[in-house]
Amino acid sequence: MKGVLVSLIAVAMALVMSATLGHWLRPKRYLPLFSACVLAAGAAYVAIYALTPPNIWCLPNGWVCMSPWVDFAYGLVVYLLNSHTWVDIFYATCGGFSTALLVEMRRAMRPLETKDIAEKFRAGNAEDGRIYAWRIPILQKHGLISVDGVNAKLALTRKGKFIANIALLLKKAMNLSAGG
Amino acid sequence: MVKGIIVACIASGLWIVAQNVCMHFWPTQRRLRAMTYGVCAGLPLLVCVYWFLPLTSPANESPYLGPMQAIIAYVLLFAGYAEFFYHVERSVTIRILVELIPYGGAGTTVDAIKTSYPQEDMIFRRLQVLEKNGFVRHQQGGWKLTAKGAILADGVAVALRVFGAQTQADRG
Repeated sequence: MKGVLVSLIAVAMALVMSATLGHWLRPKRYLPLFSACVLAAGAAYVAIYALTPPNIWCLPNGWVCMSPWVDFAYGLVVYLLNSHTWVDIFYATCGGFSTALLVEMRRAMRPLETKDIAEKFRAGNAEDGRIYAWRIPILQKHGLISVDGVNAKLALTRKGKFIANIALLLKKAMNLSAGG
Repeated sequence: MVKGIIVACIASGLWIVAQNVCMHFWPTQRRLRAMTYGVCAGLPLLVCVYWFLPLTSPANESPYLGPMQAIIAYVLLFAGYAEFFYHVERSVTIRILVELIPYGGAGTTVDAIKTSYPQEDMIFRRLQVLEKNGFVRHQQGGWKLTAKGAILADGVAVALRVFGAQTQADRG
């Protein structure tokens, strides 16, 4: 059980570090920042686990795992799963599309028609709209699509095709619609 | 303790398979609710698997330690699966990639993708989902936040301020 307790401390550290650094640095992309914070707090997990007694000053004897390596590994997995969850919650809320709609409606302080909301995602790039405008360079940067500069044509790279086909297969396996 | 982890993995695997089989026969739009019911229905399964799995825990370990570890791992695996599910189901980026499949190596323009995946339809569909989940309602004059939607929007606004982040509408 010590692993779980230490992992909770490490998750809290990663979260506070990420929020503080995010607030100060305001990075364009948050994943590198989060990854660095999760790694740093992961190192803190290892250090705290190594430096504290098996009962971490509070656990009754029956709650101390007999195999410290299993307990350490379990705590580390719990730490990684919890870290993944809060990073995902960040992207679903702060970076989410549906939540962006809610925030825009809140800012407007009046009912909005669908086209009014769509307009807010169009400003600044009348041609593509912001939904496409910032995604396409990112997909290109990660080598998932190639952009033909002359004809402005987008095509999947091998890596992009592989991911797209896996996604399509999963959508079929889960009986999901096109989504998005 | 090891028994708890093994049991959580078995029970999670079983309910995820059951969930996906059910989605084929009784597809639902309220997927998070269906998943939550699925994971709750899986709790007795967790107990059964724990009970019947022929693995023993060390005698000096609390009898509650194994089940506690099993429940923690089960809940975390559920969260992981739900996140994975929504990436596959809802991701706009994934949808753009899937839209590009039929065009092969020749590719196509953004305008062609927008024909089959227009921005306004994308927004309308999301608003319908938000309405179904009680975050917005459509009335005369347009879409309006419900109290639940306003609380979520305010919570997101606070998180954006804390992390110094921007919404998708604010990104250049």
